[in-house]
Amino acid sequence: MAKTVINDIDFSRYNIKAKVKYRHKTAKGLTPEIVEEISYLKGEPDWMREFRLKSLEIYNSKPMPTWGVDLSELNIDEIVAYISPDAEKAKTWDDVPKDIKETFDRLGIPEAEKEYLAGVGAQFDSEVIYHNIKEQLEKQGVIFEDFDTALKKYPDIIREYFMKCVPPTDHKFAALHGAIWSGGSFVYVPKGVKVETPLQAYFRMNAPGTGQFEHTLIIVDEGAEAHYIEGCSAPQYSVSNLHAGCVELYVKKGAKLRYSTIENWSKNTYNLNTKRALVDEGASMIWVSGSFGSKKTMLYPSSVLRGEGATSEYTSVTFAAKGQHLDTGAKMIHLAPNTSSKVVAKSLSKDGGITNFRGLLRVGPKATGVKTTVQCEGLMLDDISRSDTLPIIEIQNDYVDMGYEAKVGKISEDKIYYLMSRGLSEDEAKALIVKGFVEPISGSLPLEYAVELNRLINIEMEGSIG
Amino acid sequence: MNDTLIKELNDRSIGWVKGYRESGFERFSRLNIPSWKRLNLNGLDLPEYKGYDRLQVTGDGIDVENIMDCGMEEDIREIMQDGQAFGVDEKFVSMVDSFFNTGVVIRVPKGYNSSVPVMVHYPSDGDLILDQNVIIAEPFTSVSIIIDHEAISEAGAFHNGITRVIAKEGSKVNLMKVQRLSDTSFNFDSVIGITGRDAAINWSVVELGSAKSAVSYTTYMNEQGGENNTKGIFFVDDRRRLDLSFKVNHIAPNTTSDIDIRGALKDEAYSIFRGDLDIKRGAKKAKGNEKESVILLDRTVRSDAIPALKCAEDDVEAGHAASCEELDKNTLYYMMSRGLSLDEARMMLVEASFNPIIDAIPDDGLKNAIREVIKRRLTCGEDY
Repeated sequence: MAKTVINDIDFSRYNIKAKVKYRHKTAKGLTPEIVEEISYLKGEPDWMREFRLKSLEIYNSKPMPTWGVDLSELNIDEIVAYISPDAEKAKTWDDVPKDIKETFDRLGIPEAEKEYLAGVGAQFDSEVIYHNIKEQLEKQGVIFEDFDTALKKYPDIIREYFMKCVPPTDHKFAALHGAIWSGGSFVYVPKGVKVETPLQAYFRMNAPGTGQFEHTLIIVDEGAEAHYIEGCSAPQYSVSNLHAGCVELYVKKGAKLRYSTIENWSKNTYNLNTKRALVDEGASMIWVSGSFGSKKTMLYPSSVLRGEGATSEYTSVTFAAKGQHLDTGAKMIHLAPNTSSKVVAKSLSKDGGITNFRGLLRVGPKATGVKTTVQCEGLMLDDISRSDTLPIIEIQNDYVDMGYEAKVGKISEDKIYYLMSRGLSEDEAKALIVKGFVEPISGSLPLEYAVELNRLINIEMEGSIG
Repeated sequence: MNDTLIKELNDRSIGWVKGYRESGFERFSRLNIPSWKRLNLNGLDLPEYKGYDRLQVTGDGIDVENIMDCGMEEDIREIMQDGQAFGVDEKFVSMVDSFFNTGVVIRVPKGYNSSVPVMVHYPSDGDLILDQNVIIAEPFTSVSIIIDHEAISEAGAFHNGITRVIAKEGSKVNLMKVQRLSDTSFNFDSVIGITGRDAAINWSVVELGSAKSAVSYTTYMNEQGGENNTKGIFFVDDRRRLDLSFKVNHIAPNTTSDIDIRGALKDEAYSIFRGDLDIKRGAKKAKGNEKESVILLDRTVRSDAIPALKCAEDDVEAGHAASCEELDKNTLYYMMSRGLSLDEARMMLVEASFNPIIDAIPDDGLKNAIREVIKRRLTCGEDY
């Protein structure tokens, strides 16, 4: 059979393994000594050290979750919590060590920055190695810093907001994050400032058997706007890696924030991430999420609509292939009147992959006049995969307009037949249908990322066809 | 309910039932009463055991036996010891298995084909009803059965029952269960159905009474061409709670299912709807659909929906929908401008939603009685 466009793409650019050189690396496992060591190496204030130790206590007191994905093979005692690359944080890519820069070059990050990004942060294992923002935005008062720098430069703001939206008591992996977080970004957009081009963070795990625990805190002040994109990847190793990041977003009165993620962790990674937004009066929070990688994922971005008229949208595509179990979904919590939300979740599963949409839609007693819809669609590419949908809907007053729909099925043979009758090969027809299926997501991303999304779909579709 | 009582009941039992009660009691005494986050059973005390003798049955040309004094043949033992998971909770299922004090065994004989329903009536005057029901439809028969739990006084009843339905090849069983116990009653009902090749089981569920009611239907479609259609209505008012759960297992190819539930909530009522469509690997060409819509009549109601869709087979069509809305103010206004009172207008809109299900009730007396209950509940207690 003739090679089609589907087979042309090379997965290897995600699989680059830079030589593992490090400055500091903690021992495997998790003890108060390791937590103190991380805090000491970072030269943190006392309150943060105490916060970390307290979180560790909470972590130890909480049981492993018994729902969602099977975590029995994840051994935290085998994970290296902190590994800092042998590099100073740089302001220009020229100052980034050659092998690390090469990795990011091949991922296309510096080039993208030149062309269409307002700022970029790049994290390699546990530390941020590059962080830069366009001068013009800096002049407008926009802050975009790596988290360790932000903790030194803006201690009061960080102390006021850090893990207040997602407290360590939330669940076991939030507590783990509180204890050993490292790296990540802090963004502050002042009142009324509209950042039109996206800010981006790229998270790369390079060393085997390690964890990445970056913290992202974004405050979009009243009437301001921002678009934040995060990308993540790692090379494939035989031992497990763990990603337990935490994203806290504060969208103030009348502000708008769009948070896009293209996640492509290697298939030995446990991705147990927590993302939450507090959305104030008249503000808007948009999540766009593409999950392709990891061995197991548990990720449920949530919007707490606490101000009157706040809105939130969540659009996602999840693609699980062989050996993957991706348990994702959105939580929409309506606490104020006239708030609205919309969830569109698409999932694809093939070669025995398991996708699971798990959602929560809660409308509180005071949240009258709420409009909300949830749509889930699962596409199964063969008969050995699984696609499950488990939403929970809780309505606590009568003045609500709620609609929920879910369906699951395979690619319709009529459609394939039609496309083939127009001269496409079967492979091309299937790839085209899949791209059409995820169009709502690729349509919400900036062009370059939509291309990236399509590229990932091509990679995933490769081999499933023909 | 203790082991002395089990010994006493065993002495009165026949044949294999002796051991059956004992093994049920083993499970029962091992387990705790579930607390249930949503329905909330905290503080529930199990009632003292007493007998029940109000069972009334009507039906022509069909064997309906009281389970307390029928022969309990070998095939019934097989059905009752089948071991497939079902029910509201193992504690309640095992309670019935060990202490059942009433129930029917219905055998639909070869050649039976009638749309006149068999009526099984469990009236309650604050009774303890632990009913164990078994329905067996022989191949290529067709039967309609109505099981009605009705309050004949305001006294609080405790009903906990099991109904097992076996629909053999090509047969059709229409089972309607009506629950209209008093507002201080507790209701637990566990129903399981197994369809044979090309057999159909149709559930009709009418839930109107009880302070707390937990109802669970489980269907296994083990053979090709099985069918399971569910239609249900519920009306919950005051501070009452209802947890309504359906689990449909598509195991064999070409099996189809459909769930259509309509509800209305008033005052501080709280309903939980769970619909679980589980399409197993190998259930090729399965079709499953599920729909719930609830009308919310007061600001203080609460409605939860947990509609799960599990799919391990690609060649299927499965879907889910749930919706929730208040009564349309414009429609109400229009109807009132035509001379209807608010109550009448509301009644009419709720009726419009419920009618397709009420109309299908094959007994006029029951149909009117159900309409009356809904009307009474809808129009009384305008506290707001």
